[in-house]
Amino acid sequence: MRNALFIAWHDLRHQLRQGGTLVWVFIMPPVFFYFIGTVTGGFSGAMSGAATTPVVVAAESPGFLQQQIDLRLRDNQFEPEWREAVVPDENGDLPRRVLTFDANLSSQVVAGETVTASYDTRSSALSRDYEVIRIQRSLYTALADIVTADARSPGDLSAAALVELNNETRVWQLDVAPAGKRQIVPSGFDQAIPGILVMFTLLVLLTSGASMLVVERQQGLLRRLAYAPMSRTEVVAGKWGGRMVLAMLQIGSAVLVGTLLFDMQWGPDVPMIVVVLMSWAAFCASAGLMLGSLARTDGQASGLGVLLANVLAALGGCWWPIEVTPAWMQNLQNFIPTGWTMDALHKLISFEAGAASAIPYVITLLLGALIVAAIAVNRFRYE
Amino acid sequence: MSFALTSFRKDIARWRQDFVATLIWVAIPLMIGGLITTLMGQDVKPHGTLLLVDEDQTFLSELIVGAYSAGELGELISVEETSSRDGLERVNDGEASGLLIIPEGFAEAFLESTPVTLTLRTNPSQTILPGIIQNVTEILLDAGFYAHQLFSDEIEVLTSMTDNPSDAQVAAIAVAINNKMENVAPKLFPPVIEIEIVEPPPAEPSPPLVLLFFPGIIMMAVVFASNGLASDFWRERQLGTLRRLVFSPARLAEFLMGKALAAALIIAVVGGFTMVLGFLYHGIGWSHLVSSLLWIAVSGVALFAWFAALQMLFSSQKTASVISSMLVFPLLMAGGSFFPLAVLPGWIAAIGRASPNGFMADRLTTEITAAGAWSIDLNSWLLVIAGAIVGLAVCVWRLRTGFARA
Repeated sequence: MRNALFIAWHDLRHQLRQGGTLVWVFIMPPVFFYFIGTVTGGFSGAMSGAATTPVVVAAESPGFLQQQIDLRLRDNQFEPEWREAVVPDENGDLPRRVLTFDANLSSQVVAGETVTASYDTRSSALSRDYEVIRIQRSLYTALADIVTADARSPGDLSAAALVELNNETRVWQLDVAPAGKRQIVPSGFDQAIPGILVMFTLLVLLTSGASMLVVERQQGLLRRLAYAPMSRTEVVAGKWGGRMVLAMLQIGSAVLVGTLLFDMQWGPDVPMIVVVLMSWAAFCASAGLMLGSLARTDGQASGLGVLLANVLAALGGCWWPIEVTPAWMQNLQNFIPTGWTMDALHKLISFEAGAASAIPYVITLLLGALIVAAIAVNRFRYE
Repeated sequence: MSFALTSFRKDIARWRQDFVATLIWVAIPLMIGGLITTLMGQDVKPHGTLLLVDEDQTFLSELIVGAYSAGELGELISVEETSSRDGLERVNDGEASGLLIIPEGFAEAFLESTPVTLTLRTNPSQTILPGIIQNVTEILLDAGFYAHQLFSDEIEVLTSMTDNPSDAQVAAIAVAINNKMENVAPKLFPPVIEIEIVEPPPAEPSPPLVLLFFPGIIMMAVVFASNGLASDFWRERQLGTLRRLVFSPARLAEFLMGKALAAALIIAVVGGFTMVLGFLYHGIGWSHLVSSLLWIAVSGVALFAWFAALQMLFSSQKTASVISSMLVFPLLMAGGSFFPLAVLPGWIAAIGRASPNGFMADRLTTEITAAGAWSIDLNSWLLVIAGAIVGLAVCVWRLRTGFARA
């Protein structure tokens, strides 16, 4: 045991002296948290209703219908800013989203004339479609308001008729809430951080964890260990331990940065999240050792590490919510370690389903770690 | 010139010996590109399950149930009827995108004008499908509200009727409904608000999203390969090749030209493999292939030259490797390799377009989405070629000023 601890300690010290490892363990995860969280945050925020979308509404003398259309736009997570006309700003740029109505909106509608509402958006391809659906829903609801209020009103359509309609009790009401105990749907950084954390732990352990073993074998360090008074199990356990502690350091640092810099909400089951992440670290340590035992060159170890980490991360739901993937990918996610870890984290963070809900995943991960470690021990070569 | 060819052949032979590493450079963008293409392909749509508890079991509640299975919505959502207890258990377990409970008295509420609340529980670990389910449910309930408001008098008459209404009563209701329809018709047919969605201007074509990912993924392969090839200078220094070279009559410039040519060939193979598959998948015209391949090869040499120049500035291979890693990933992020420039927030996209790989990916997008081949403008070609020449000149200078002698 002392020998294993000795090797683990020295392996860890050696790894922490490598600039590359330090960059990947401590610097890259927060950079990716920021980038992925920023890029996907706007989109998922809009989908979950967590963020509003600013829109300039250009209408000359819109009249009383302005209030009703404003109401429907706000119902659909827009933040309208009404202007008489759209003019470029001091840099000559037009607003990013403009909804333009024909002049004299209310009087034309009251007279039964058709008014054109033209929506121009420069949003990215990723969010454009959903934005268009929300604009259409806002305007069609406003149209339904107009038609209904007009039919109910004895005279012409008026602001008072619309107010009266708005005050009517809806016979069918909808109570919407997320499943589980968490009351706010995670979006932006809260959604991106767990996936990136899981991916980076695997990436670091599969690349630097594996290539270090290959380099030690090439340089004859392992051969010298073979002649040292310690068993093969102690050597492998020591190598595993060094990687496990490295993974835990990375996880600890990422959790700290996620909490302090990105205000990540981990929910009430933090101790169980730590247990899940430690089980994941154990699996990654075993996988790094196995890859290091199988690879012949440093290039193979790090290349295969990058490849496997990215593929497993994508298939396991670390890159995107698994719902957006085809059915076969969703089924496959149930059989891969990244999928188990992400499911366990979703249970604890997104659903706040209680610590017990993650126990099956922890057991599966630890079993997986044991099996992979057994293969690593079996394939471990001193030279 | 013959020494340049010798240097070229030597590098190709060395890279052939570690062909597994080269294969991995090919495999990384291929796998990532394949996964993204699978995900973003036109035939792939998110799919989830809506658990439905219909405690009302009336014509109106069945209308709601049927709405989720109709048309395109039916392709996104599978409706599964279940009990309230099982549904709650399963949605809390993350097994479905949502659970909708239509309570008993749903239809009666419509007729009696007494409010009733439907319950929708959504899966918090999902982003898109719960939003769609919520939107569709709200639209259906809105439709019910407006129908109720428009025909409240007629509904009242209907509910007060006996089981066997007379012909006169039925006729009166029909006439009343017809009158209502005629009343709303002027504002509804055609609608008084006509919605027009402005298409992106032709100058800014909007190709399918999956196609926008393609150039970034190719550039990812090019960046990985050029950075990996650049680190070869350190390996050659450790092997003593560079030291022997500076004391031999061979010219450093020719040695470097050979390395650059080898880099161009390897990069063209690495990027070209994914490119050919991408051309096949996206149906891009083959007339664009030569120009695209040449573009990534020239771009790759420029990147290789600058990565090499950067790596040779540092005193140890470890430092050089750390610095280049720190540079590569932010470059890939901003340059559109993880998300296309078109979907990045404006400020990141602006940085991305100014970054070398982002600029190269942007021009490659132009080439593969343009109607004709050789669509990259002359200035861009000249800029990349100039970049490659200056980068290689910096490498020669660094080799002469000590890197090769150490």
